[in-house]
Parts: sequence; C-alpha cells; structure tokens
Amino acid sequence: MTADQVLSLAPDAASAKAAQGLAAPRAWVAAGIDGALLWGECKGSGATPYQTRVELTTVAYKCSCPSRKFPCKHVLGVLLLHAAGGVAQAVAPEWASAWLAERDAKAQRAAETAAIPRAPADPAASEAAAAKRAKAREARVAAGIDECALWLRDVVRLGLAHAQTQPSRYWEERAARLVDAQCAGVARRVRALASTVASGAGWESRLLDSLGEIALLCTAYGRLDALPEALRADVRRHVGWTQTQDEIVARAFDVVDDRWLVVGTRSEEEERLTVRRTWLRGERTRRDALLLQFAPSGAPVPDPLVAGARLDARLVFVESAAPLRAVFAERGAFEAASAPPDAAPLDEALGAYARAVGGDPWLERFPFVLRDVTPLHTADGRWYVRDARDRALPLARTLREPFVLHACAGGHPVTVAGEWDGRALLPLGLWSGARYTALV
Amino acid sequence: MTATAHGPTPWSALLAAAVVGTQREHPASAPSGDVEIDALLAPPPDESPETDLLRRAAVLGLARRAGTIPLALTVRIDAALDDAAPRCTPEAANDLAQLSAAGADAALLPEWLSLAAQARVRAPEELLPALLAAGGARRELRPAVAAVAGVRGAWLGAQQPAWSYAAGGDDPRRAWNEGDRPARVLALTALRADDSGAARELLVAEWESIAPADRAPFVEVLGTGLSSADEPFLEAALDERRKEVREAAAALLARLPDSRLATRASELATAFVRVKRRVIGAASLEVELPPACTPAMRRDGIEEKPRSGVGERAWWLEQIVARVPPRHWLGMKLEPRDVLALAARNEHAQALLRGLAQATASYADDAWRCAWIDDVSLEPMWRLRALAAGGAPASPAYLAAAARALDANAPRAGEVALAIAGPWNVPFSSAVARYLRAQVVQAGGWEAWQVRGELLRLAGLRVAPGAPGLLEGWPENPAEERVRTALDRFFDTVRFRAAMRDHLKAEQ
Repeated sequence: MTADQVLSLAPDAASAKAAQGLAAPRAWVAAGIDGALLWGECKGSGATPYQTRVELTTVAYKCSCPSRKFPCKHVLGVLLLHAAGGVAQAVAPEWASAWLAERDAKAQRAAETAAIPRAPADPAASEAAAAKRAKAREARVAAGIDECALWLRDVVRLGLAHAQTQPSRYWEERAARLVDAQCAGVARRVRALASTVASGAGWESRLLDSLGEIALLCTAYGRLDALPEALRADVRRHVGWTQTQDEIVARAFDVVDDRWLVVGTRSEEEERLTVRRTWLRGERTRRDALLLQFAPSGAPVPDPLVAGARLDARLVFVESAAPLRAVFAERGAFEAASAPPDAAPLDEALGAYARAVGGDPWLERFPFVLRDVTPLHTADGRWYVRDARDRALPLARTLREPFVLHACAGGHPVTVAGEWDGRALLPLGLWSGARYTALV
Repeated sequence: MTATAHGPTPWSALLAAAVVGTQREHPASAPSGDVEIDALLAPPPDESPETDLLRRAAVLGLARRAGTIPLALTVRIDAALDDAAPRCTPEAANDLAQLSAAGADAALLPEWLSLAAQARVRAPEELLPALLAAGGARRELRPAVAAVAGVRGAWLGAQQPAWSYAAGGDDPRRAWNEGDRPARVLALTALRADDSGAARELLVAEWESIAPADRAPFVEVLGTGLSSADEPFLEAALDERRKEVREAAAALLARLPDSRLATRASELATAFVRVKRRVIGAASLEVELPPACTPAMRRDGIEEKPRSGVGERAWWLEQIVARVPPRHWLGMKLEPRDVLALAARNEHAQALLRGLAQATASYADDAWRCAWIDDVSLEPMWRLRALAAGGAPASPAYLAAAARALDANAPRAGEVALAIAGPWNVPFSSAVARYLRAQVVQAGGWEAWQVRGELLRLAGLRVAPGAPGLLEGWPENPAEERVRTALDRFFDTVRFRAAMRDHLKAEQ
C-alpha cells in the first residue's frame, strides 16, 4: 500500500496528520512485519506503549490505544512506516500473533457454522413459511408498483410545471409508501426527483427522463415473466430485491479471475448510510466491475479498497443483462500499480455505454477510462474533458474541485477515470503519465 | 437531439407537452428519424395519453443517453510549461495535504512552505488548488505560496481571479496606486517588507495627497522594517495636526535609539535622574520629578494627564524614562541589573520601573530583557511588559535567560516563555520541555493551567523538533483529561514537525 492509499483510510484530517508524525522509526519502540502481520509499539505520553497490529491482506487492524477513531493514528502510522519501507522482517511478539490467530479461528468458526446446513425442526413447514413470506412480499411489491404507476400518470397529467411547485413532502411521501411496499430501489429514484426539480436550468428534461425510467421499471415489473432471465434479475434488483454476498457467490452467474486495477472510488451519503463505490478494471479481460460497500453514516467503510492499486482476485458478477456489480470470491493483497489501465477513446467508451444500457436500461453509472483527454473550462464556468479531435464531454457538477483535475493535467492530455451517467462524467481519478491522482 | 432550426425534436415536443400536462395538451407525435425507435414510439391501442407520454419519455430518454454525441469544442487553451524544480516527495506532499485542507490547523503551513523553499522543491499539482486558496485567504502567505506553487501555480493563477497573486497579479505597486485606503495600507506593508526605503519614498511622495484623518495607519506601516532612515520623516510627523498621527510617529521614534526624540528624552532624563556613586557603599539614584509638562515634551508624545492613581509629575517622569534608550543608564560600572535594583529601592520606584520596562520593550534591548528576566524580585506585571514580544527574534542570550527563569520556576516564567516567538533554539526548547514536564500535572487551578496548557500548545509549534529527549520522561497517565489531551497533541505536533523536516530535507 502506498502512503496515499494509507491516508485514504484516515477517518479525518487530524488522524492523518497525527499519523504522519508517527511515520518515522523514532516514534516506535519496536515494529516489524511477519508475513501479512504488521505490528508496532508506539510510545504515547502514557506509561505503556500502545500495541498496534494490522493484517495486511484485508487491512484488518487492532490497537490498544483508547482512541475512538478507526483506524486510529497508530494503525495509520505503522502502515505509513511500512509504506516508506521503514519496517523490517521480525518474528511477531505474542500479543500480535495471538490476535491474528484468534481472528483466523473466528473466521474458521464462522465458515464452519455457515457450512453446517441448518436443520430446521420441520423442513417442510419452514420451507412453506418461507414461500408464504416470499409470496406476501411479491403481492406487496406488485401493489406498490401499481400504485406508483398510477401516481406517475397523475404527475404527467397535471404537468411537470405543477410538479415543480410541490413541496418536497410530495416526493418523500410517495417514496415512503414505496419503502412500505418493499420497493426500496424505486423509492430511492422517486426521492431523488425532489432534488431533480430543484436542480436548475434543464430540470424539466431531467425530470421527464427520470419519470420515464421509473415508468419503464413499473411496466417491466408488470410483465416480468415475459422478460429474458438476466433482464428479469435486473428489474427485480432495481425494484428493491437484494442478494447477500453469499447468495451472489453461490449463484456464480459470471466468475472472472484477473488482476484488477482500482480505477476510482467514491463515497456518498445515502439515507443514513455511507455507500462506497469502487470501480475495477481487469488487466487481462478488460472487464469493468463495481464493488459496493456500506457503512452507517459517519462510520468508516470497512475493508477499504485503495484507488490506484491493483490486486489479484476472483470476482463473481451479479446476474444482469449488463453485468457490472460484483463481489469478491477470493482476493489477494494490494500492490502498487505502475501504469494506467487500457484506456479507450471517447467514441469507444460511449459505444460501450450504449451497449450496457441496451442490456440494462436502468443502469445509473458506467465506468469510463478515457485516453488522452484534456480537462478544460469555458468562460461560463463549465468543465469538460476534450480529446485530440476537439470532441468534448461535460463534467458532472457534483465534482467537488474541478481545479484539482485541471491542475494535474496542466492543459495536457491525460487518462481520466470516471462515472458516466449518460449526461455528464464524474471524474474519480487520473493518470498523468504513470502517476495516479485520486479526485475526491 | 436538441431543438434545431428545422423544428422541434421528438424529445422537445414531448417535453413541451409534459411540462403543461396531458390534461391540457396531448403530446404531439414527432418521428425520431430512426425506424426502430419509431416502432417503439407507436402507441398500442387504447393507451391513455399519460401512459403514452411516459412510455415515449422512457424510449426517447434512453435513446438520447445511449446516443450521446460529444460536443464540438474548439476553445483554445494554452498548456502549462514544464517546471524545472522537482516535485516534493510524496511524504512531503501528504504533509502539505493535511496542512492546506480546508479547516486544517493553519499554524504549521508557513513552516512547511519555508522548508519547501529551502529545499527548492515545489508542491504537487493536485494540492495547488487548496494551497492557492489558502494563500487567497491569508495574504501574508502569498509570496511563499506563489514560490512553491511554481510554474503550474502561476498557470492556474492566470485562470482564477482569486489566485492571480500566484501569476504575479498581486503587484502591491498597483494596489498602492489604485486601491482604496485599506488596500493601500496593505500594499505599503508588502512593499515595506520588500524594500523599506523605496516604500517610504512612495509614502513621502504621496503624503500631502492623503487626507490628514487617514494618515495614522500609513505611519504605523513604517513599523515594518523600521530603521533610522525613517527618522527624518517621523520627526517631521511630530508636527502633524492630528493627534493620532503624532502619537504613531512618537511611538516609532521611541523604538529608534538614535532618533532625535530619544536624544531629547535622554537629555531630560539626565536633568531629573542622576546616579550618585559614593566613595564607599552602594550607588543610589537621585530623582527629581519634572516640574511641568512642557510643549516640547508633549510634542514627543508625553501625555499631560495621568492615569488615575498616579501623580502627574511621576507620570511625566515615567513617560520620559520610557523614551530613553535603556543603555543610557549604563556606565560607571553599572549593569542593567544594578540599575533595576537601584530603581526598585528608589522612592519613585514605580515610575522608574514602569518606564524602564516600557523602554526595554520598545527598544527591544536584549541585555535589559535578560536583566528583567533574571531579577525575579520585580513586579511580575512590569517584567512581562518589558518582555512583551518585540519585532526582533529572541537572541540566544535572551533565550538562555528565559531558560534560567524556567529552570528556577520563577514567578510568571511560563508567561515569559509564551511571549517568545518561535522558532526556539535547542537549549530553550529543552528548557521549556523540562519546565512543562515538572509543572504540567501540578495543582494550581484553572489560571495556572491556562498558562501551562497554552505553553504546551505553543511549545508544540515552536520547539526545535530535533531537540534531544523532548518526548522523554513526561508524567505517565496524568489523571486529568485536559492534560492528557494537551500532551497527546503536543506529541502529535512535535512528531509531525520532525517528520515534516525529514520529508523536506534540502538536498545536500
């Protein structure tokens, strides 16, 4: 892991700053690395040094300090020291190896528990109950979708101008009803309409676009049985059915082994939840993959994936007509990447997007890794990336600091990785030569 | 599919209908020009206008997104030129990222900038926007920011008005010529820091055109880079009509030991205060209080009306002594500490010591400051006044005296140390650490803690981070939360600064 990547794990700026002070050998009474176990003893102002241990493969960690920040400055500090090559091979002390052994044992127990088929008291009755629950949910969803379709017709009957005059409650109440009907995916799209109507010039067009998407989803759900299997999975997922990691792995819809480069990550707050999106690109297969991680708002996302690094992994894709979302079945450790991934010219990227929405029309974001594009801004303050043939794509207004991208490129062509939503590109990182910079 | 001269596109026609609503307008059906899309647009029988509109919105919306054609954008841009200076190390870049982030503790950024300038490295590109913004908000950082922002920083500065200072757009001469009064004061201060003589000449040339009521702040600017070359102008300013202008000039002249004002004060002092040396026994001071506050005294800024509780003649004496360069009192084998001792024994001790304290501070006289530190019998408030932070950095001798006071745990030693601006040398850094190690967990109530806590905080920022043993031997697990937190922060800051130095080591 590079220092940048370590610092991307910091819960706040103060922790990062404190950690950098600990990135020197003199701050440590002892430190060593033993296989994937990194450990260190840091002298604080107290009597006993703090004991810090990190398991490097999954970046799991524990520290004896009383800090309520995770990871604490000591964990970050020992990782930084390691990144700078300041940690030598050494046999781990008992307190460190015991922690790792206990972790492994726990994982082992969990795996065993999972492997033992639960023997219900009465398999038939339990199965029947599950089937009954599933049927009840189907009915609730169907009713919720019907009601939503009716509401959509009302919206366009009264007109978008009328909709814009409604208070945000108008959208929130509808979203709440959809949540009650267990249609979380549709609810999220409806809730987003409240900000669409307030999004400034061009809101009508964006609103109609979104309404059309939701209506299409309602229609598709109504004729689910007539759809191809993969598209059916997409519709159910977009409506609100979720799958656990284990279910996805067990389904094994599409299993891909490759060396994956993390081209960009972005965290967003969503309904009391931090959602972290991480985009990977396969070196050999050139496949794109999206990993989603969740954490309660304010808490750090566990097991952070570090942008600009790469790792060997087996990914299992979620069933879809345009498979992008994936989960790890197996994974190796991160290593530093030294070159940008294969990047596409603009038209190739747009073509790939068109094919993807041809499969899954509700696809919200698609990864672009664009070759030789120059960021620039026009006199009206709008931002673009432009290729050598003067063809440009607009950048998303949600890009917090476009000048960072601009400063890195300096008016020269660079490789830009970002999310394309069909209208604008949200850059997540760039390579200037072989140097990667994450844009947050 | 945007509207063209040929009429509405299918999308814009649909949008127009959607905005007013199907209850008023049925969406007109416009062909898309694509056979497959048109097939999807054709309504099934018996479809309501609403359903029809939503279905067409879905089809056309998707087609629009899938069929995005890049814009043709021919606006010309000039790429940045290469920078010959190397980028700082990634570790140094990470340090800078913490220091220039919005909301970051701003105290260490100047240190990073100056270390980077010494190492002749530039800031990494991705941090330039935050760094340039920091310089935009803190004018005093601008020259240092512009230097480490380098060629790329200048390139960005040319594109963003708030950062134009990085592109040489912050020319103080222009602000001096064109700005309003506050801008001109700032511009003159900047010019003064750069070339004090040239700045004074600009002021002299414009003096008559500045309204009398506006002149005082411009006089105060001369406090930056003050030298005896400013004396003739300031002496002349003592005859200004406005009181605040005269006071500003007198205050500055009382910092110049060779000024005519200082000479006049010394002559007066000689008339009223004499050192009497007996053949046997100790010397003494013979003091006669000034009989009147003459116009000449008033011209030099001496106030006629005393503070309440002070006799007017003693008050005049105090002000005269405050204007006398303290070296005036030396000679006849008297050292500063002897003079202080004599003054303390005199019946007019209060006026003499107050005046001497003020003079020590005004003339930033190092030998006298040491004497004030060393003589712990003196009234602490006067000692602190004598030691009030002067413009000049503290000399090693002064730091050594302050270290002695700390080691002796002299009254107010902590406050003396607080008043000494950084960076501190190694011996003084160690002395402060020794002092705090012994004092930080002592009882003493809130007031004592305020000084210690503040000293601990500032010590983190000012100590030489390489001073040996700085982080050793601190009290273990202090019971009080505030002490623990402050100690923790001290450790963090010292370690961060040490790391920052490692990361920005100048190339040998």
